[in-house]
Amino acid sequence: MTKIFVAFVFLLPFLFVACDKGEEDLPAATPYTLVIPEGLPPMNIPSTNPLTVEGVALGKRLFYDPILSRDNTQSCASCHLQEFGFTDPNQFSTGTDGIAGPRNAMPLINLGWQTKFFWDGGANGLESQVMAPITNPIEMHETMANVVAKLNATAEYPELFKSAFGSAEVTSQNIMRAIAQFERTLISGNSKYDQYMRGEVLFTSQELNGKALFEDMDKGDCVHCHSMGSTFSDFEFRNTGLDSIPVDEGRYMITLNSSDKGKFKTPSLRNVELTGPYMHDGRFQTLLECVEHYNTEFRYAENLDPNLFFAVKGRLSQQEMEDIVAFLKTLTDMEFVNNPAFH
Amino acid sequence: MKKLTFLFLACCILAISSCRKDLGTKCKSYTRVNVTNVIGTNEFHLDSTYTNAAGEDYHAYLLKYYVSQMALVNEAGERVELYGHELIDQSNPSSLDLGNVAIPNGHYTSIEFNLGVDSLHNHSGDQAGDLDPMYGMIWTWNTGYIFFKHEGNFTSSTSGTQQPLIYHYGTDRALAHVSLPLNLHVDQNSSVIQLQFDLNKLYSNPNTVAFTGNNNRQSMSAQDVPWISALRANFPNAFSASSFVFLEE
Repeated sequence: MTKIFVAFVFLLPFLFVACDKGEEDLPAATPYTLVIPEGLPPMNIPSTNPLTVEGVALGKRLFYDPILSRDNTQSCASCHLQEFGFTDPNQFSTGTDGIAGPRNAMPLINLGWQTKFFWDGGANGLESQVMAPITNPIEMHETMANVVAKLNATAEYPELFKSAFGSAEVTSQNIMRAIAQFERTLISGNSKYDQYMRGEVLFTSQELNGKALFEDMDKGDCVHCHSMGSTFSDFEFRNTGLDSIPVDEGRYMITLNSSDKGKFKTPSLRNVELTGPYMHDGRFQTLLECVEHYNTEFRYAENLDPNLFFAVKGRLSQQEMEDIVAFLKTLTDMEFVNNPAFH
Repeated sequence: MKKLTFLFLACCILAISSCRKDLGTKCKSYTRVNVTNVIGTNEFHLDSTYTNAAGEDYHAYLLKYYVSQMALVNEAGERVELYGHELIDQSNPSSLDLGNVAIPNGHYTSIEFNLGVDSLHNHSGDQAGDLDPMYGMIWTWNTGYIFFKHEGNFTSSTSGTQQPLIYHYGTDRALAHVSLPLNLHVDQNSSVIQLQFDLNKLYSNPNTVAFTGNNNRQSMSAQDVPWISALRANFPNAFSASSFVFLEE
């Protein structure tokens, strides 16, 4: 008994040395310096998932890798194309089984300032959001367990996860975290609007007029929900009178509150020139159709947003609607859609 | 190298036995909870056919549920936390043994836990351990855990045909608190707490839940709310607990 005990005491230092060595072999991931463009507020990043160079790079690789789908044919980028502000130019995206979904893909721009994801806000965090397109049968139709198994079986991914998260074991948690890290870097803050706000360029008179109408509570009143700043949205849920009786119940499917029937998240307007078609169901092809909807076409649905309920139909002239569209186009950020760091 | 491994293992055993002595001096003992799914007095088996209170024959090919924040309560009403979130999976025997926990010696009069995942943990998939989304116990489009999953078949009482049964029980309103009487006196010796879950009682006590016309419930629509309420009331009655102490050394 005593001998074993002596052996144990003798071995103890070796055990510690072995542990220490393991940790020394593992260089900590490099903190990623997120550059927030002037005019945009600081971003709240979960303390459990700080951005790292290795994590962002891994997230980008996963974002573009069709291994996340059931038959290895579709990646996140299949329906979120950078040239269109990371959305799909089709009204509905088609999944791995050839089935089209019921809603228009959302653009991925300035997501780090948002707190709820999807048109109905079904996900509370960017990390959790990652699971849905992977597992939805009409999207990538895969299971998290299969994704974990497939990535663990590759030659390169375990190393990449090790450098990003310290463990070579691929886990669903770290898949979600890596993709969320990459998505937080998708920042648009150098549109003509941003340059104008920084005093670097001038607006045309039409753009100036459009901006004034956008902000005028008695005219466009767009700013009520598409609050100006980082995201051009308050990300609240509203019924905008698209249908008298909503075909898609939207937010109600998440909350089961009847007052949420037909409500959808206010989308960002950044790069809106590129992100069509528009609305949760992609029913409008042009920005002018959208403005026309808020001018005269909206229906008096139950739960219609009060701002619209009290809005006067036909309050905008054709010229005024076109001016608003001209202003909306100043939100196009070619640096964002061409940024080589994102592809 | 093999010798080294042997020595290391020997040391580990020694380390564990010395830990146990430590526990003694700190007046602690080990306990562990073992879960058994049952039908009446018999152990439950996947694929065996059972009959519910409504008289319908049924079986399950999948039976999984979360028990969380399990704690023992002593005579003074003090709680001793045992586990965090534990996924019980009938097809995975190791999930039925929740593992050793050191508890202060004393007299415990009840064991309590939640069936499901509390609201603080229920709305993020960014979690590890038994809450890892890879276990398929989460709704990804409306982030939330599936607290209880029973999938199988049953014989319809109206048509007499076999039909699929899909019960995915969850959402914050579904969290069921369970508190069970216990008579556990620990004083240095290890103990085991046997937790039994009777699937037939879940569908009968006090609310009879028939499968016919009610065989696809996924908690996400307003029509599922009465079903959730019925099961939430039944869950505390479907569990029972007993304990025994190892007389060792």
